[in-house]
Amino acid sequence: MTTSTSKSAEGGAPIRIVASSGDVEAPFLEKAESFIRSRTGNEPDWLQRARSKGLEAFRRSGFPHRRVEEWKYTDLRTHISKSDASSSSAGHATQIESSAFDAITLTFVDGAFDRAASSDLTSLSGVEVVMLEDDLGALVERQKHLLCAIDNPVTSLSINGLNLAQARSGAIIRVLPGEALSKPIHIRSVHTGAEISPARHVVVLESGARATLLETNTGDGVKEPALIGQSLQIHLEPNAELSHHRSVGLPDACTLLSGVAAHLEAEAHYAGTTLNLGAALLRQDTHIAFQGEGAIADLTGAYLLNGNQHCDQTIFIDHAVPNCESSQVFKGVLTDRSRGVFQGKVLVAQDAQHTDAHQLSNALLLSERAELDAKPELEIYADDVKCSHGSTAGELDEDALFYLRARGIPLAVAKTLLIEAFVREPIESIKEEAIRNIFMQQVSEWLQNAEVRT
Amino acid sequence: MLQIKDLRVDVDGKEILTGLSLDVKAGEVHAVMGPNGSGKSTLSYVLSGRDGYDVTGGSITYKGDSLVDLDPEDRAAQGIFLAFQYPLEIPGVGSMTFMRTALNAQRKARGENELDAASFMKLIRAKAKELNIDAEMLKRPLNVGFSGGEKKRNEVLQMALLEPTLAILDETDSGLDIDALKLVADGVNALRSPDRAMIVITHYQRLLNYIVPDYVHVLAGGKIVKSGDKSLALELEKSGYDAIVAEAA
Amino acid sequence: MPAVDETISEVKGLGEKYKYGFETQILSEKAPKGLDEDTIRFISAKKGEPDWMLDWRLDAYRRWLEMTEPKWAMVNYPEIDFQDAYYYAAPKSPEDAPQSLDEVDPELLKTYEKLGIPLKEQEMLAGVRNVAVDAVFDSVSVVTTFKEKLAEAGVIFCPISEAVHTHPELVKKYLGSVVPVTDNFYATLNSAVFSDGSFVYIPEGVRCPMELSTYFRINEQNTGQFERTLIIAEKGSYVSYLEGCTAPMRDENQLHAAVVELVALDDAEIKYSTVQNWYPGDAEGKGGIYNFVTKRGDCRGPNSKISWTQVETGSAVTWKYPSCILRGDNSVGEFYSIAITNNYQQADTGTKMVHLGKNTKSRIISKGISAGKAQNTYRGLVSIHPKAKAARNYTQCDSLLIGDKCGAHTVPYIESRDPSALVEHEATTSKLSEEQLFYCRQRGIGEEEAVTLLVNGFCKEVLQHLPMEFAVEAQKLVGISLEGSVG
Repeated sequence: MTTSTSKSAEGGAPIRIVASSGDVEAPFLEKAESFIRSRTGNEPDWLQRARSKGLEAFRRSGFPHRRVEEWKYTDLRTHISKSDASSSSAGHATQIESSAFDAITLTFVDGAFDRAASSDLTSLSGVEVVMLEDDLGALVERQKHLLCAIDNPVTSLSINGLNLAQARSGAIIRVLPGEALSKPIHIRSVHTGAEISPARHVVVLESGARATLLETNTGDGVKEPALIGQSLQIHLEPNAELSHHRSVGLPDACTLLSGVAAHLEAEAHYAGTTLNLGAALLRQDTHIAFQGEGAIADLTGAYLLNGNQHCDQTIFIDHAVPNCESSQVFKGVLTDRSRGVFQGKVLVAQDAQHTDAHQLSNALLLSERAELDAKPELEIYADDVKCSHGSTAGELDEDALFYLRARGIPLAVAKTLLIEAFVREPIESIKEEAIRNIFMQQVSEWLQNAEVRT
Repeated sequence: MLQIKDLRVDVDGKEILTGLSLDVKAGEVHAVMGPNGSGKSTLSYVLSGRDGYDVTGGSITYKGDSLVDLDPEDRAAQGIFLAFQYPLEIPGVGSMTFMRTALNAQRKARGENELDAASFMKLIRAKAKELNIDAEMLKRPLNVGFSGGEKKRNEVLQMALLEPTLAILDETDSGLDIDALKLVADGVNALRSPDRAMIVITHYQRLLNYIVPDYVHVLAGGKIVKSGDKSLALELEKSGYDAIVAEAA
Repeated sequence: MPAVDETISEVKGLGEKYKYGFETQILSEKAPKGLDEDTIRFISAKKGEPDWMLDWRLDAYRRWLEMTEPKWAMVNYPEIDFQDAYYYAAPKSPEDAPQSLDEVDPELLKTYEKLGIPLKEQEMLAGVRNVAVDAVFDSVSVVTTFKEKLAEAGVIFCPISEAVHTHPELVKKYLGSVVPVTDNFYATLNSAVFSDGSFVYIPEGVRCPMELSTYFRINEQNTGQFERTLIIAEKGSYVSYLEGCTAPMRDENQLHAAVVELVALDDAEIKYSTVQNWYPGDAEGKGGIYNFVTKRGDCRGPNSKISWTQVETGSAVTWKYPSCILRGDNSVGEFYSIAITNNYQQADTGTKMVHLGKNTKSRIISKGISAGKAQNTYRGLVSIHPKAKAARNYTQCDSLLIGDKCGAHTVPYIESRDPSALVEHEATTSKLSEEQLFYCRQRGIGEEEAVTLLVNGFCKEVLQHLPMEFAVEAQKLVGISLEGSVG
């Protein structure tokens, strides 16, 4: 993680920030310290050591702020220091119940695993699931390594460190070689109060394994400002395939920091979709690291925001090896005073010939006070590559709107139709019909509630 | 003019031409026919000197000298012209600029005077007129937005301009409807001359109705398996490659 | 070369009453190495500046002391010791200058030849002793005619050091009004120590009768390493200004930090074209100019327009973002750029389009070409403020890589705070097509010429925005800059 000084181009002297933990960080440090102590003797030494290291990283740099280039548009430190989150009433998402489809359900309530509300972990086939608070004796090296890894180029080291230091629970999942899971795994995070502990998940798909992972975040009960931290480390062995879908619909008391890092070996395929219907502040970091040739990563996402919501999608795709493909398609709908941030960086190393990397970010600004910030970035050191990015920001197409109205469709309906069409593309890329339908349903409900009618 | 003897060519480490021999004299038109993957395009690229086509055995002698070590532009200056199967689109580079640069580079290489802009314009207009090519087409960037037919006619125009001694036509018929094909063939026929040899590479007999060859060769498995006159093409059309190849084997 | 300087200042003085003869006679001295307040007083005194100008410089210097060098650009170079440089260097003595072209680096001469630069002019550019401007132009009459024509139109075009005396009210009003003294480290340094540069004032309703260029090609070499340019286009006026030279110039100074400020008032238009071809260092990356430039235009009045066109092929390190502040309603900003880096060159360049007014429009076309072991970065900001109703931006950034040891990077920042604005950004990165290269070669075009042809094709959209006379030379320059990049 580089903590470069943020500047878009010339102008203004860089201001040196003394990166020490001040008042904002103090309560977090205290809590984490006592938590680590409480776990002594209850978990392996390697985990204790890693937690302490994580805490040190957080102590060194604290919460990132806008002078850190990767956090230029999301000043987390200021947000947390002012954390009397707004009282706007937005953020009601359809509750996704696993009963809507057959799944291996893992329920976490305020960050703690709820065994009673989850599937029976002892009767699974093709997959092993261990909880962070359980006996970790059976973990393989790779799982241990992922669990403890905090240096991810997107998520700030300090945040990742804090997550590791404080994580109370988390699912450590291993899909066995060649297994194709017939049911999706559903990590269901339900939040009820202000005291929420971070969760840390690890998913490894061994050679040729296939699985679908659904992550949902809901928390209608949360009234007090709450900081939710989630980390997910993914490793796909050769030829493994993971469909990974995330949906977030949290009330405005919540701040969610979610980091996903996926390591792809040869011919592996990662398909990730996100649907973000808010939180006061939502930062979603996605890091894709290509480690073997012929791998593919397709990332798509939609965010629909209202009130004062702030949603930041930050993506880093590291093409370190040749012959891999990546694509990003993100669509944003911004109303009220919401702010959308899209930062997508593609790095192509000198050896990574025949890389195919494409990136698209489109945003609709539907209010005078909404804001979009985009930074689609290409850093390319190999010559035989095809890389592109495109970014647009604007309002609904006047001509299309007129066309619909000329056919007798009322303005509000016409707008809703066009917005729905606009965000449909990323969601339609979801292969699993049940999940796709639920996501689409969530979008429809959001549109019905939102004040897109003028 | 051109003698190819027992030519072996590797592409990406795989042997594509496996001992091809062909003798072409001035004024002759040779058709090389073959199924997909027989090595037709490899032959055209190795003759024109494209990188990545490694000669591992045999020889190519052109006007008495070996071609093998020459760069593409040197071969072009010596009169070798390849009409591409898929002529490249080059946005930003005007057709006129391109042709003038090419002509003058070749003239310079041969120790001839370069043409100034006015003489070149005169020349290209005349050539375009002979071939019934709309001069408007030449104002556009090279091949950009050209139809398949226009691209192929532009290749013929370049051939007319550069006046090669050996022209290689690589699947010139691909992607053309019958009218476009006739136009292109007329252009090519107008360029037939006793000093000029042509190698017409094609998959289908159809083209040879319009560009009538003196000799027809069947290429299969990287070598010529059968040669004959134009009737061989008709025979191929009737009984297909499999039968001819099997018979030859 | 006092003779040269004399001639130049005489020529410059034509048409203007040149009452402050402070320039040439005392040039034999130079300030001691290093930078402190005394250096600045020395520079100011040498120029016979009024107190307000000295105070302005000193203020800048004091602020500069508090600042640190920016580090965010994707360029690497050894730490610069700002105390190990001369800030007021007199021209080299005639004994040091080459006696004839025979003594000039043959590589430099080859380049001149390829660009088709006349012999006399070559001598001038190479700094050969005793070549005067009038010799280059055959007679002083060209310059005189030029000056007369401008004077007739009421256009003021003179060294900024002269404008400080002749038009203090204009300089006071506009200097630092676009690029504030403390804008950035290098701009502040420039404000403290700027050597010279151009001052252009186009009166209301005047269309400047000529490109401000021809004359400049020769004279500009003495503006020094801390160039300062100020162009003011009054209501309804138009000017096209051409800076730089396609021919590489001899230059002993490694650090260049120029500031250019443009002000376009209501309905005015400024077109600013640059060809930057400073010494890029040798093929091993030794030497070369560090070029840290701050260029900014302020579309201050409604319906004004500022258009930047740049061809950047020189310098070891380039750090440059010609920008537009689109303040006036309906104002237009344009940025057309070609940046070519070869060998070990590094360029971090782009633009900022800041949309403040209604219906403001901006267009960015950037073509980056990277070869050898070079690094080429486009960095740009498009910012739409809440009051910029119906603002439009279109950005296209294309990068071309030649060889597998170089890098091409695109770092756009897009900030939109108005729903009626439309911001579009597209970027591509690809390599020089082997198929296209082969196609050209099959037609008999040699490899280097084919590369030139293809790269010029890639750049066409930008080249066509250069003034005619320059476009031809710039095209040749593209080829020369890429020599040795293939094969």
